[in-house]
Amino acid sequence: MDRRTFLGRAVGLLLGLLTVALGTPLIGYLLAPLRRQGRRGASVRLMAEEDLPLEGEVAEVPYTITRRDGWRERREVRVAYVVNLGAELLVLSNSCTHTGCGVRWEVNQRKFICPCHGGEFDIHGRVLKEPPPRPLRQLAHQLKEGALWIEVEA
Amino acid sequence: MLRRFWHWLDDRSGIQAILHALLHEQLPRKIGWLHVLGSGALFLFTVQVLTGVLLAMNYVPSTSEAYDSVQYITKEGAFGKVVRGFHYWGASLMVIVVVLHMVRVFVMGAYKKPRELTWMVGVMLFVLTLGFAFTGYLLPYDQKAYWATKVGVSFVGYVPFVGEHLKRILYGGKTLGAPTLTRFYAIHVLLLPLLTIPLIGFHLMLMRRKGEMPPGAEADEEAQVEKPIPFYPYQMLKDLVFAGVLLTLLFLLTFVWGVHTESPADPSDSRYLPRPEWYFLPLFQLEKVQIGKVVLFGGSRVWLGTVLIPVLFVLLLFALPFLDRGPLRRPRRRLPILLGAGALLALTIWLGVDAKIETDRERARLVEQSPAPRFSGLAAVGQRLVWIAACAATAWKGRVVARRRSSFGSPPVKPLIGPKDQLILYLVNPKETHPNTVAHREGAGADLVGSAGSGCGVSVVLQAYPAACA
Repeated sequence: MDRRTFLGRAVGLLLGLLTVALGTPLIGYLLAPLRRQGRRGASVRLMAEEDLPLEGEVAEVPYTITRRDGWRERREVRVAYVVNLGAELLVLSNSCTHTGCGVRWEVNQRKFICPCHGGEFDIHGRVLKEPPPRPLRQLAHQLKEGALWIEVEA
Repeated sequence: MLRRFWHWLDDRSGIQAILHALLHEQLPRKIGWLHVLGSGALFLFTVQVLTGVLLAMNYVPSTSEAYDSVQYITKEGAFGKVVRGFHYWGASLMVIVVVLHMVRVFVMGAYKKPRELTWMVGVMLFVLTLGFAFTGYLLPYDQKAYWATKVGVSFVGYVPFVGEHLKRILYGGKTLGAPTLTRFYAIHVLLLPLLTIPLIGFHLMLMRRKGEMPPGAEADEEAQVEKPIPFYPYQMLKDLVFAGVLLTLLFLLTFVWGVHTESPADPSDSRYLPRPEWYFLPLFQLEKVQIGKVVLFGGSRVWLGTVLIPVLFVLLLFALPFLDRGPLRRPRRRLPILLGAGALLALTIWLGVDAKIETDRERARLVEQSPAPRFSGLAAVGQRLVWIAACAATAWKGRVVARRRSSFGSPPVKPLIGPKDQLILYLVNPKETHPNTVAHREGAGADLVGSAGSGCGVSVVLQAYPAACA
């Protein structure tokens, strides 16, 4: 190997080293959100037991959570649907499983309709009309102290 | 496969010819290690751009969130400290490397015909570098940011006739505040890069057009100088080694010296010593120069020191190739101008050093004035023990508070410690503060207490309170 080829290799090696040394922290910084963990779930009081919807009815219930939002802490209002099926109570997330738009309960048609791509769900949250790939997410809930509580991820 | 793709790309774009043109510039034999400074500046600029883009992803230019978002970057994100440290120290290294590059070109006489334009574009890049530095350090919105910017912008206020108007335009209002931060941010991340990037391209283009000046060759000899050395791999290797040195320095500075953030900007703090970054210290100090009892640039002459001299200095640099038209290049034949420039540089450095010494003295004086009494002998030992106890207690209290504190950005915690104990705050964790901050105000102390608990001990006390422990 002559001098020139050797130096050419050295250039390549140094260039690679520099790229790795500089690139590692930069890429690491970019990927940092992957390692950041959300806070564990919080219990939120949704509504008093006496305000629960009647059997076969759906109630749209707003609730507030305090969320860690980057360098801030923020109060955020969200909405859940409380469905009274008689035998059981469902609490459904209002977030469409397709692209996350907020679904609304159409009382007359008795289904959840997504305003974005026309997805539809029945009263159990099951898909009636695609594109949504999955049923509406159910939130864990319990009745205690005369109220309905749900578990949410903050 | 790869080869076929390369052929396709080359056929459509002619990339091989472009690379060849870029890498195979023939250089004179004497080009060497002194010529890596320009490419070093380019490397640092690249680092600043990359880290800057990443910082902008989390930074908020708002008076209520800037400080917290910077803390978030430094303390929360993985590698956040590195990215911010590179950007922070990169700025200082950039100033050093750019100035050394200019000194090299000056001493070798490379600014002369036919390379005048390259030099002038270079001076513009130098001014832009200082512009980046000045607009950059307001952004964390800590004490230094606030006060140094206030002082800097007040200089502009002394421009005859239109000064007050210019100041108001820079502030975006009557005084430093929310509109100042947003416009400095816009200037720092949009306007200056938009100006700098094409100018760098122009600078490089001009350099290639007239070629590197062969060191030691006078103008009439230049045509005969052989150019046997191709840029790749010979000079490129040197450039890369220097880039490696700079990157190593960035790592060392970030991890050994850390990144200094002071307490949040506090316009009401009268015990704070506002000082700019080191590269503006000479200008800062110039305004204080006294001849006998007369302040040279005082009273009606303030504008001479704040406006005229800096502007003249830049104009002098800019017009240098036309002011110094002598054809001679070899340093030995240009002693008068080299000595003159050397004297100017020495004066500038002396002003900076003087400012540093004076600041240290002033800080010591403020510490002496602070409420803690001084003892000697056994009493001093006792006092030190009391301090350590107080320190530990505060740290413990701080940890409790830190746990209670919900997160960044929540409303400031009420001061736990009265003004009399402010010194303890400083003792607890001087690393979090800056030497310029002698005693912390209550509000600013909250964060300090929150992060207290580490580094508590005799050495810290000694370091923090040298005047009393002496």
